[in-house]
Amino acid sequence: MTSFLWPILVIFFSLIAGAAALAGLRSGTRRSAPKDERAAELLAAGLLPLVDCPRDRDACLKCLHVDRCVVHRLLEMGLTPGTPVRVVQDAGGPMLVSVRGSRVALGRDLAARMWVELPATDSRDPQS
Amino acid sequence: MITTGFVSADSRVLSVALAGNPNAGKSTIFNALTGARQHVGNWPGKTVEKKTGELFLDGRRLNITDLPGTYSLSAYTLEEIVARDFLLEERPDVVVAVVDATNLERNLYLVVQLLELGLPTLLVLNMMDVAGEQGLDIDTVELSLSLGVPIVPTVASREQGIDDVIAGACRAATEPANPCLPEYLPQVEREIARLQNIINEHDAIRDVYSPRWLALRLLEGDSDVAERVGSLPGGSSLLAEAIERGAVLAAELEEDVDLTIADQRYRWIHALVGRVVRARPAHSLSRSDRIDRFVTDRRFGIPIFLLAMWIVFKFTTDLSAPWVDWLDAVLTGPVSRWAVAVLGAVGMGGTWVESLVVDGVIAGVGGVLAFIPVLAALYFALAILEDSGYMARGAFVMDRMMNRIGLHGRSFLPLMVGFGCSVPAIYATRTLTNNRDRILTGLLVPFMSCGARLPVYVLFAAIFLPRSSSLVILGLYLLGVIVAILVGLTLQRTILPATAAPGLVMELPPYRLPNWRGIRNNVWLRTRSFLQHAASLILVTSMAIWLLMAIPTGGQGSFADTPMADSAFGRLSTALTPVLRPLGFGSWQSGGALISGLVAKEVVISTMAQTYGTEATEDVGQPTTFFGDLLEIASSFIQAVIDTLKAIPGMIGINLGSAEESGEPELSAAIRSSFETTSGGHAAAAGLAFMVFVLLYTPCMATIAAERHEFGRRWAILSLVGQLIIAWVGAFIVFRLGVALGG
Repeated sequence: MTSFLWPILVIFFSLIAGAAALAGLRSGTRRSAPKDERAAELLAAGLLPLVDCPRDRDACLKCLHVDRCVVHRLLEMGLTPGTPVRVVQDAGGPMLVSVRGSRVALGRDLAARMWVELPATDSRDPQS
Repeated sequence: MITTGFVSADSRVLSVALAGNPNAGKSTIFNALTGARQHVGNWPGKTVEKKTGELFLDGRRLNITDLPGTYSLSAYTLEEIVARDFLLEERPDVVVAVVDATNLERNLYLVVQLLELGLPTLLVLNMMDVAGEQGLDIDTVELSLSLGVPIVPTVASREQGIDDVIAGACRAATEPANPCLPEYLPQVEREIARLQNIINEHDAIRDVYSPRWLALRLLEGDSDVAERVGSLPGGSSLLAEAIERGAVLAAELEEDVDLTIADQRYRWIHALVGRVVRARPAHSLSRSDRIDRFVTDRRFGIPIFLLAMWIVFKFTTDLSAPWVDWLDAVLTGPVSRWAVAVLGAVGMGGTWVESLVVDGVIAGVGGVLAFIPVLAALYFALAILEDSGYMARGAFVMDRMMNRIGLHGRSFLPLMVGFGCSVPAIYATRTLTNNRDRILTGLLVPFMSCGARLPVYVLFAAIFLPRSSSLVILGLYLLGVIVAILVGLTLQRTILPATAAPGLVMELPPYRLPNWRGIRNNVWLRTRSFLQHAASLILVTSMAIWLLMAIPTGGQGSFADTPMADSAFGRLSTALTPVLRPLGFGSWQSGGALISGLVAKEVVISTMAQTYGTEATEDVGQPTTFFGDLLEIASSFIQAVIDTLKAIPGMIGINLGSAEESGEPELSAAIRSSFETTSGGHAAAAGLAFMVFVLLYTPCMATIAAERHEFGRRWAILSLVGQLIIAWVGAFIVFRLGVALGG
């Protein structure tokens, strides 16, 4: 009987994989911060949302423009304003961020509301 | 070295709480401390796992409670509430704070909060070996002096330093806590002092809470603590004052008070870590980061994850199958024969007692035992995924897709396991950390078509839609998924609303080699917990069905020897027919099959065979000797071992072996003609409706028992009733559509 199961599940999984690939192609490149007054202010101040932060660059977390209940989660994970952060993976879904020696995954919408400052652009190698 | 000189007569039982961040090695320390003397269950009324254990030492008893891993003691997650309630209400004699030495800064945040609570505390610096490998040099003496707490360095995975933890905990319990705490901004300290003065005036409050901790929490606007304090004498005036001062302070700081306090805490810790840790690691890619580059990649992430899930799925089904068969063979073969022989010897052979023992008790026990290999295999696979750190990566990779249907990335695994068996899938929801996500996932699990439902599809598709049977079966699997998505979306808009602006925030722990001892413990304890909690309900249901089949309600049958149509079971099935008539299968045989399907889907077909009277006469078998039986058990055990080993290479590949014949021509003909009658000539539509009903209604009592064990009675009943309604509506739609389209 169980031999029936395998082709079915294989097809089922290919469907999932296909859907995932499509979803990835469609929204993987979405990079934008919510457009409101505060965001414009922060952009003008030279900050940029974490989603737009390039990978492997040292940055400094400046401002959490998120819901109060989420703020607590972020604070207890060590994401306090003024902390150095670094994006280590951006695969189109959540962002993977290095902070205070640990790796924290942050939902994309959340990362669009967290503002960072890149150090003044000098010719420093980002890998160093 | 254990010193016992200070033990007084009234402190022979010591209550110890283990606290720490997730992934700090708390469970490893807990296992090393308690060995097998552990109890796993849930916290009362919560879906958070509670682990307790004992340790006996020189006539002294240490009751150790493993608190859920948390990042802080604010009450924003269920784990934090559970951990904090325990510390506040049970007031353990000593708190053992387990800290990951490779990540001091983040871990000490919780430690500072624990110290502010004012309980005697021992700091355990775990994973000292990894810290050494990373070139971290931690000055434990300076750290101990700076925090004002004793420190024990350990390598829990190799059980180094465990004796020192025990000794240190015993000593810390007898000494008054005198920690060094962070100083906050002068304005904050001013308000803390003001509130502390008020707190000290009220004995009822002062006796329960540490004044400084309470003042801090109230200024931070902790609603949970406010609620507790409000009910104490003098609480309301304190609260009013705290709210007012908090507002003043926020205006003065031009920032939320809780933000300021968290920031100050981290600043203090940062400075402290800077003093005690030398050779901090360079900000470069670690080994974990390099693996993550690949594993969480945009292109490879999901295929790797699906492959991992596939292996887990095959592992739980293929590796456990030989053992399920072996248990079944032993119970229905030798054990049943022995029971019959024993009953025969005491003169009860052939009576209803024999039927009760063989068809009721032994069959019921078999129904329970059959889950043990499946659950053990699942728990093993889950423990490896969790311990190695991959589970968090899977959630990371799947998060975006699952978010579209309002679920968490971690929900995928339980749903996946549900294709094998719903019972382990319900328990697999433990990998979800949020209560609401757990219940939501748990309610959707039964819609994933489990392995036991497949034989029904195979038989019915062969009878009614022989030319497109594969397509029909695939369609049923997809229908289950679609219904699950619809139900999930509905639940989120009604009784399980999404918690405000979820947004994933999750730590990805570094990859580690699994700790075998911990995994072994885990598998054993969780499987035992299933036996303790779910077994009774499964057994009772099985016996109840037996009883229904045994009671004669007319005709010439006697108790336990009555034709099925005349039994109470037959009557009950007949009573169901009006409900099933609109679905096209309103015969008592279908009703009976569906009722017994509540116990286990495996018996739907055998019940049909019984009710249509086409059951093949069972082999009575040659009379055997006791010794011969033992030999048979042993040889089939060896066969099971061999089958398990054989299953391993096939786990990744897809074995397209020859399909087993479902040939029971007599039964097929009987079902066909019966459905032809009840559906008024639309047998195919009725057959399809029956399959849809089997797909959508409650998988089995074991699943309900698991839901009750995990989520409580209310959710289990909701799941049972809700699924019956959904199944009926689904089957109705399918039947009517089929009739309309001329099926």
